[in-house]
Amino acid sequence: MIKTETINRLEDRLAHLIGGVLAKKESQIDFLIGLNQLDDILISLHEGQPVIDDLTRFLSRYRAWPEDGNLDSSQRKRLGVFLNSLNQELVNRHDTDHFKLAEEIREWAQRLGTGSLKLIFKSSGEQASLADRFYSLLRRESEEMNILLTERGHLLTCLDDILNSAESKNDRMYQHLAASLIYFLKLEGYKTDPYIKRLSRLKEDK
Amino acid sequence: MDGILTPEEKAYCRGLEALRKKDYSVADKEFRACAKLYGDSRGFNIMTRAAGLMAALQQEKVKISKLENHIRETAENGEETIVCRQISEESAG
Repeated sequence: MIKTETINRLEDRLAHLIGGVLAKKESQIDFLIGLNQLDDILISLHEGQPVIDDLTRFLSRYRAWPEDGNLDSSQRKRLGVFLNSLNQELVNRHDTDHFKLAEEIREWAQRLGTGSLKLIFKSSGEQASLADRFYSLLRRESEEMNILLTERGHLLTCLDDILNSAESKNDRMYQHLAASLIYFLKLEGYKTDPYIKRLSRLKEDK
Repeated sequence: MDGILTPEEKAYCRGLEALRKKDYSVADKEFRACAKLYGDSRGFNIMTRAAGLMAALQQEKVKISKLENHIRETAENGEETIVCRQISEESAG
C-alpha cells in the first residue's frame, strides 16, 4: 500500500509538471501538431492516396489559423511553405474536388499574408505542357461559371461580374473567360460591343 | 517522395501529441527517436524525462495491481492459478 501511495504521489507531481509545460507552450504545440497533420496529408498526396476527407477536416478544424495572432512570422512563413506544396499537388490532380481544396488553400495563403500562390502545372514529373495548362484553365472557368450561374442566372450578368473580376484581380482566367463568353454571346446574336470595349480597355491597361 | 518535415521533427510532433493524450509510453518512445535533434534543449529534456518516468510508473502500477489481485485471489480461494504464479515470478525477478 505504501508503495502504491508513493507511486500515486509521484505520478500526480509529474502529471502536474507535464501539464504546466504543455500549458506554457500550448499554442506552439498546437501549431506543431497541426503542421505534422499537414505533412501527413502531403505525404499521402505524394503517394496518390485519398486526402480529401482529411484535408477538409483539417481546414475546418484549423480555420482560424490564418488570422491567428499567436502565430509568429517564422510560423507563418513555415505554414506558407506547406500551403504552397499542397496547392501545387492539388492542382495537378485535375479534378473538381481537389481544385476546390486548392482554391481554399490559396485563400488561406492570402489571408495568412504569405503572398498569393502560383499555379504550376506538372504532369508526371515533367514541366506542365501547354495543353495541361489550358485544360486546367478550362476547369477553373467551368467552376467559376457554375458558381456565377447559381447566383446570377443570366449570362450577361455573369459576364459583367467576370469583367469586374478581371478589372480588380490579377488573374488571366477572368480575361480569358470574359473573351470566351463575349464570343459565344456574339455568335448567339447578342450585342456585345460595350463588353468588347471594356475587355479591350482592360488589356491596354495591363 | 517524403513530406517537408524530417523524421525527427515528425517524431517530436507525435511525442507532443501523445503527451497531450497522456499516452506516456508512446511519448517516451517518440521523444527518444528525436533526442539527437532536440537533446540540447532543456525543455525537451524535462519533457522526455517526465514522460519516461510516467511510463515507468504506469508499468509499475500495472504490476502492483496484478500482484494485489493475486493476493486477493489467494486469500479468497486459498490457491494460486498458473497466471498468478507467473506474475509472482515476474515480480520477484
